[in-house]
Order: sequence, then structure tokens, then C-alpha cells
Amino acid sequence: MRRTIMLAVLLALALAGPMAAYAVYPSEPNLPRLSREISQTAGGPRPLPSLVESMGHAASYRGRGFIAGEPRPLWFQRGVLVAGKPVIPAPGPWVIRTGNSSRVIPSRDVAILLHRSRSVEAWGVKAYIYLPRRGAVSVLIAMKLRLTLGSTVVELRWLGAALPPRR
Amino acid sequence: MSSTVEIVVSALDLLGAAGFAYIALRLASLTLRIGGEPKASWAFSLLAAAQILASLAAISGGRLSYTAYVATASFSAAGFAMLTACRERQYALIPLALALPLGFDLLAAATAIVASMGFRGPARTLVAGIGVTFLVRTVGLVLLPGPTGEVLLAIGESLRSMGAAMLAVLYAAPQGR
Repeated sequence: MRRTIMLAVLLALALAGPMAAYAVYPSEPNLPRLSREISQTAGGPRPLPSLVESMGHAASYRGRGFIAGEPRPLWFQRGVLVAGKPVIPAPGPWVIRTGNSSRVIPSRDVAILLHRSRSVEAWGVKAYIYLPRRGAVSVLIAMKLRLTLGSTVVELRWLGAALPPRR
Repeated sequence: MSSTVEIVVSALDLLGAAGFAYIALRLASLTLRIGGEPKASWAFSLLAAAQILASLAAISGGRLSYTAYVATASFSAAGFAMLTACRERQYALIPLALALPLGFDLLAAATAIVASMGFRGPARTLVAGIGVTFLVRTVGLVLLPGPTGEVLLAIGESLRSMGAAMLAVLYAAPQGR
């Protein structure tokens, strides 16, 4: 009986991980919908296929901070380097600004956008130190990003990111 | 990460799976001969399954790859926990349960290191080394963006497979434990 319970617990442990991973894995955002919304906020209709095609793989990164965002699951890299230090992106509200209009979009869509951008610039990086619990220090980052998607330039304001807690 | 590297890592993972499967079979036959509970055999079977899942994670993509990636660590953690229980060290599982929220990779590393205490000689070093590769995975996964993390991950996967193969060779020897 005891052995059966132990086996059941361990098998549950083994299966819990992949089941949770399968459940939480983010699905691909609706890129045509996203590109349509971007094109609308950019101040004029753009042919949808060309904009989607222009969302190729990121070719270069520059600026003080850059995104190494590639939502490939095996080599799961979604870190952000700010001033040469790794930052784990926290889900938070992003404000996308094109021209004079702005709106909030899900951070998941932003991750895909960053991946598809030809270039990413970051500026206005501000750090706020806070103490989530006794003995630990984390840093909140606020920054602005400028993405180049084909011929469209999109500006984003990232409202929050947290460095790994340091003891 | 080029596809060639992913194929090589996948092949190494399969080699590790073969090593663990060999140990499981050898222990199973031993258990049948002298009697007793085949817990250790089950444990190495889980480790072999974890290696097969790691191989799948390397060559597939999307949700399947992510699921297999996490399953590698959770199956390994369960396997090492079973090995720990084999050695009458069940009490060690209590603090390990506290490591669960930190992630399956860290849990697998912790259980492997605790399980290694039940081995002697080179087997102890190899099991502990296999556990350390999960720590390497964690560092490559979380802390290092860009190609450095990927290279570290590939090295960790390769070292784990090599450790499994060497453990199998150790068990194949007449004085194998």
C-alpha cells in the first residue's frame, strides 16, 4: 500500500510538469489582426500581406538595452539585457504608440512583435529598486522601445520588468 | 542554434536513454533472480523516458517541445526521488518537496544529489554530476540570454547523456553496483 502511494505520488509529480507546461504555453498571437491594428494606428491602411511579410526575423539589435526575445520553447530565451545585465520580463501592460494614438496590448503580442522586428532601440531606461521581501532586492525597469517593422516604426513603453531577486 | 547542433544533442540524449534503459533492464533481471522490489529498475526506466523526452524536445518545436522540455526535468525528478526512496532515505523527500515551486530543473538537481548519497565510488560522482547538469540547464535557461545560454544548455544536455552512458558502463562491469 505504501509503495503504491509512493509510486502514485511520483508519477503524479512526473506528469504534473508537462501537463502544466502544455496548459500555459502561449499560443501564437493573431498576427494578421495585430498587423491590421498597427496599420490602423499608423494612420492609414496598409496592404496586410506585405506588413506580415515584413515581420521577418530580427536582424540586428542596438541601443543601450536590447531584447533577446525568441519564444522558442527548447532554448527558452526570453531575457532582456539592460545595461548588460539579464532581466526576466514580467507580464505587464505595454502601451503601443504609433503617431498620435496609443493603446495597450498584451505582453505576449509584444514578445512576438519584438521577435519579428528588424531592429529594436531602447532608451529612457529607468530603474527603481524595491524590496519584495526581507533580505532580497529587485529592480523594476521602465523603458521605451522603438521597433522597426518593415517601414513602420512602432514605439512601446514598457512599464515594468524585474531583475532576478538577489539575496 | 543550428539544426545540426539540435540533431547532435538529440542523438546524445538517445544515447543517454539507452544507458539508463540498460541499467533498468539489468536491475530488473537481478531483481527477478534474487527477489525484492524493483524500485530502482522503475527509477532508471523513468530516467530513460526523461532522456527520450529530452531528445524529442531538441528536435521538435512549439508547444510539444516546451512540454517535452519540462517533462524531461519532472520525469528525472521523479526517477531520482524513487532512487532516493530505494535507499531508505524517504525523509530526504520532505525538504525536496519545498524545492518544487522553484522549478522542476532545480528539483531534479536536488533529488539527484540526494540520491547520489546512496551510491558509492564512481557511481556517486556520476549521479551527482547528472544532477548538476540540471543546474546548468537552469542557468542557461533563465539567466543567460542569447547564444551563450543555448551553448550552455547544449553542453549540459551532452554532459548528462555522457554521464548516463558512463553509468551504464559501470553497471555493465562485473563488480557493478
